[in-house]
Amino acid sequence: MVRLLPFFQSESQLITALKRGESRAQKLVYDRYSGKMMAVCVRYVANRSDAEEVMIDGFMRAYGRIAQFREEGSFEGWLRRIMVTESLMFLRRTKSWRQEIPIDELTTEPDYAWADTSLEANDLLRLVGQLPEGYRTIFNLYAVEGYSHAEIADELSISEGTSKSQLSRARNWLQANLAKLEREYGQANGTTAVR
Amino acid sequence: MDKPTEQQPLDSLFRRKLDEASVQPGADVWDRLSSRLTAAQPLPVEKPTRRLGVFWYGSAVVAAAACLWLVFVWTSPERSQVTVATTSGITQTKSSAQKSGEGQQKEQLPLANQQSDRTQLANSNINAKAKQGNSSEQANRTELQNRVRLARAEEKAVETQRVSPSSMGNEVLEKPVVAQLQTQANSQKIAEPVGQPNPIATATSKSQETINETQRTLIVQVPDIHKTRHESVMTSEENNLAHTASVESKETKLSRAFRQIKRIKEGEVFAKVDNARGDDDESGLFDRLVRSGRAKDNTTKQQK
Repeated sequence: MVRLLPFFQSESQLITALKRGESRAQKLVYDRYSGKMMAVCVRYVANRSDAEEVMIDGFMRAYGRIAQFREEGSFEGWLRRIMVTESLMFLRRTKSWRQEIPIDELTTEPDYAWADTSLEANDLLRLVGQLPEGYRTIFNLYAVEGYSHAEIADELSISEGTSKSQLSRARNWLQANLAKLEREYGQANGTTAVR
Repeated sequence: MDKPTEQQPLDSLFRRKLDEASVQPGADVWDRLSSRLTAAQPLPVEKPTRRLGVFWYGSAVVAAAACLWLVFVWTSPERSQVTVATTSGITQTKSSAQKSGEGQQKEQLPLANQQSDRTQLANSNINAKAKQGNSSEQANRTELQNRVRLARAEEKAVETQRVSPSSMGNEVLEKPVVAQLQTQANSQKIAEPVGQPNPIATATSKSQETINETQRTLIVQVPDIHKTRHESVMTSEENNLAHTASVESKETKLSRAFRQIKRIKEGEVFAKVDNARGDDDESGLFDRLVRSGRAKDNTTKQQK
């Protein structure tokens, strides 16, 4: 990546080269954004190989529609949105996000300060990956991407009530599992997490 | 995108952590992506533009060539011959004869050549039409009759041009020569009996000797055409004779008038002639008047 950077000093130069269809620019974009985009895809598609396929489809779509990018927002945000759309398309094809699994009611609330300092992004990713696909999709769209319930309902062709109920269940499940992690971490270190 | 109204600590924790999350894909992902990119590299947009460009360039070249050809045809000196050829077959024969290099010799003997060319044209038309079968024979006859009529009209026009008194001078001097040639050619044709097996071949000039044998046999199979041709030749000859007769009669009338004027002017000669003719001749009025005047003078002198 360092070898290619001198050719594109700014992001606009990189995008101009992408619009010309230069393979050098395509490689540079992949090297720069593939990690983050893979994280996005893994959040929606738990299976890694499926997530890689979704990411490849996303990059193909981004390279093919680069002329539609107006450079009004950030290129990373535009690319992330494409990846989310591709992931939703994959889920729509598999219909797996419609599954509803009953989750036990929340018993204890986790310590968020401890989770913020002690847990890494990969730990949270792994936790999200354990969510049932329907809950995971709605939680990702609402909590991480910032979609509203109306947008989620429109995107997934469900009602807003369904979106709200599934988000609530996803939160309960995550809180319960965070509390469980906290307990396991305390037992491993011989201390109890401070509330 | 509307921000969620309900911002819980769980959501903010996951957003903060997952926004910056990075998962390295497998090493072969780029290879798979690049292979798909190269498979999609032949852009479907460029090929149609090239084809369109070739199409437009080709059409432009064809249009330019057509324009050049039209301009060439329009400005070429042979254009009149070509356009006339569409209306009259005889003029087409003329133009073809001029193209073959006979040129001025043809112009010197136009009527004789016209006769031979006309027969050639009739033969060629007959050959062409005879191939179509017996069903179209009637239509061929009517077409040939029309062409013969056209030929007659053109012949009359040419002859009146040459014989008309308005064109006095060199053309008038050429007239007897042309008439003699025509009469020679026509006399040959008229002298031939109609019922002979190959009359057209014998009546035509040397230029017709080049016609191949297949054409000759086809000509013999259609005797009516020969009749119409013969009739056309006959009528043209009659017309020529009538023209010459009318011209001669006009000339004799004019010459008589000139002579009478001359006689009136030259009264003495006129009187002498009248004296020689005798008193009974009414043409010697002047002499009679002179004599009656002298007789009156003599009687008055005698009375005195």
